[in-house]
Amino acid sequence: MTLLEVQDLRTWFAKEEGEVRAVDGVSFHVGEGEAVGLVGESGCGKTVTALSIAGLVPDPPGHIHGSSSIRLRGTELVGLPERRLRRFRGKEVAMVFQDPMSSLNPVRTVGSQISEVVRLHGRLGAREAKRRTVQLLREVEIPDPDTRYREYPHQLSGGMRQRVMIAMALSCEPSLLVADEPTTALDVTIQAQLLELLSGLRRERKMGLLLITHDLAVVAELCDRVVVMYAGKVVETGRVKDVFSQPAHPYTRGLLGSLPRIGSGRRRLAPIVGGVPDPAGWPSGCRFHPRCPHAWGRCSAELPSLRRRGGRAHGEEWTVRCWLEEEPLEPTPDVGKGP
Amino acid sequence: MIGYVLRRVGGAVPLVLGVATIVFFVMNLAPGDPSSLYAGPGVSPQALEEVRQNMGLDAPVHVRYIRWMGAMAQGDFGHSLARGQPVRDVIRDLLPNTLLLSGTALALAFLAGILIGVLQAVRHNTWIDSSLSGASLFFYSIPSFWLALMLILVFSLYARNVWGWPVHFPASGMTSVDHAWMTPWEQVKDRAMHLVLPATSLALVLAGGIARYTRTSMLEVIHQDYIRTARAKGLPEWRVIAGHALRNALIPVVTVFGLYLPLLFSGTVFVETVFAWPGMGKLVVDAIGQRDYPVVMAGALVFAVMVVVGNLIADVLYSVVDPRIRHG
Repeated sequence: MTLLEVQDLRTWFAKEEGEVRAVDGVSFHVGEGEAVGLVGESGCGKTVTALSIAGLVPDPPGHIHGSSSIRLRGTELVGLPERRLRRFRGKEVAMVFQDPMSSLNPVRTVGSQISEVVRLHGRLGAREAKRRTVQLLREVEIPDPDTRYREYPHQLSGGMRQRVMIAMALSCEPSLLVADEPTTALDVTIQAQLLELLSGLRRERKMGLLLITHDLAVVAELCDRVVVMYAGKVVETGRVKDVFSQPAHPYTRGLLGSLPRIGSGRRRLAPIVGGVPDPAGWPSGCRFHPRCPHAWGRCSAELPSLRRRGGRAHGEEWTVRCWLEEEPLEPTPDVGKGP
Repeated sequence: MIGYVLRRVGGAVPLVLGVATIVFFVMNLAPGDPSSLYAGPGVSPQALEEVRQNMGLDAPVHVRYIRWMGAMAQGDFGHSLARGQPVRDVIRDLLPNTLLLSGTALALAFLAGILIGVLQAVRHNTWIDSSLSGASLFFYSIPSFWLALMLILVFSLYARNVWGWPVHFPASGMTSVDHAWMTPWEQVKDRAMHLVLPATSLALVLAGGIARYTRTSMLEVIHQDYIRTARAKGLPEWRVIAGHALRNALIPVVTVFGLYLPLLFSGTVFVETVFAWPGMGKLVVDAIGQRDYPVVMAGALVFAVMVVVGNLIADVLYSVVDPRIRHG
């Protein structure tokens, strides 16, 4: 059975300027023990997708459409009463957030914040919970865990705090970890350590991972599959090695093309022109068409559907949302060839 | 921590000395003195001069200042002219009554204010929020002595004489006339009943402001990332609020504690007078009418010291609530 199955997720926000369709029909899945990267520029709906999965979208103003479906091991989470949803949160679906500086409660010790989860879902006594918490701190490689247990977040460095967040997330052996830009706020050396820790712990526990990031290198390193989002929709999904070596969607190509690469000489970076459009009014047709170097008449008129890339040997799960897939142009311009 | 408190107490000493100096000169440079009042009407200038000499009022003001400060340093607050008692004994008898009243009022005010503020923040932008906002603003805007009179009117006078409610509250004093003949349990109840109206009239005014502070602070905290983290743990909403949001929201409210003490004590001056509550506030008001200078000066000083001590408590509370200050 698939661990997480998201189908036609629509999370809209009622704002003064109208309905903001932050996530607008997103479908993807995460298998048991699989690591999936969710990538895209800021403002394309990645975080809202993550919050929707954990049932943490503030309602109002946010609202997940009734037609959406989020299944965790077959249990439908959309429309589940808050009380039952709470049993999944922290236990089955755990989250690690972007900014470890602000994600921990400043007035409580890190130990109490972790053991709280252990006691809530594991129904452990105070002493048991403490023992388990110290053990978790050790597992995330925090030195001197007995002392750290009694310390407050401000006494820890950013990297340490994120380790605490990871310990908290892992405390109840969740089947799915949703990590929303877990290393963006940290400096590069710490990033590498944390990612290594995260992928090690994940493999040990055979835990599913949804890694939200705009760092494609991280996805290449850690993930089995990748989901590329643009403007509230999925534009391309597939195995990391397929998508990154032969990106099919012009947006994926653009993302890869904007990366600097060692050994590629003095190649100019090819940024994607323009910015992510305002979610209060997505462009018509293919939402990427105003920025797409290959856009043609049909692109602005009709929204292409997510199609399987047929007739090729690259797995069964490579899908792309682009008119070029249906009516390929003759010469493919040399924009950002993959590695 | 103990070192910090000691340093703060040390820092408060010059402050209290300064207050004492100001109180002394304000009283002694004002025209007139108590001698004529105590010599009685129509006495001869010689007799009046004798009274002034007896009271030590003939000495130049700076000499009197040094004498007074010297006596104060030895714990001698002088003699009450109106009561014929050492001021120290008067304060010893009445200060506990004021502390009982203001302590009860403060506890009530913070309890009610914080509860209302949290409720408003949790039910942000609903009719509950707006009606409680209106009520807070109302009580925040009215003076406590007027509220005291209205409470007497409704819960003491009308409740007993007009509507005949089974429960009504005494309108004045700390105890009933037959207090001495009651059983110990009845005495406690009697005192509690007498405390209700004065404490409420003081507390409501403060609670309005505290609720407004708490609401604002709570609304800010609720949108913090760590609250989202708490929700992501699967905690029930009330535990998110009580266990994670409240303590953070209370940090700014501690400031209000320090700010409101002068308001509270000036409130006791009026409320004690209205309810004939035998405390420091009523003592000072009476003493001003009687030109009982030693009592007025000592009373003002006692209030100043209470504010200083209250602020000290607020600073200690800060570090209790916020570990970042404790380790900073």
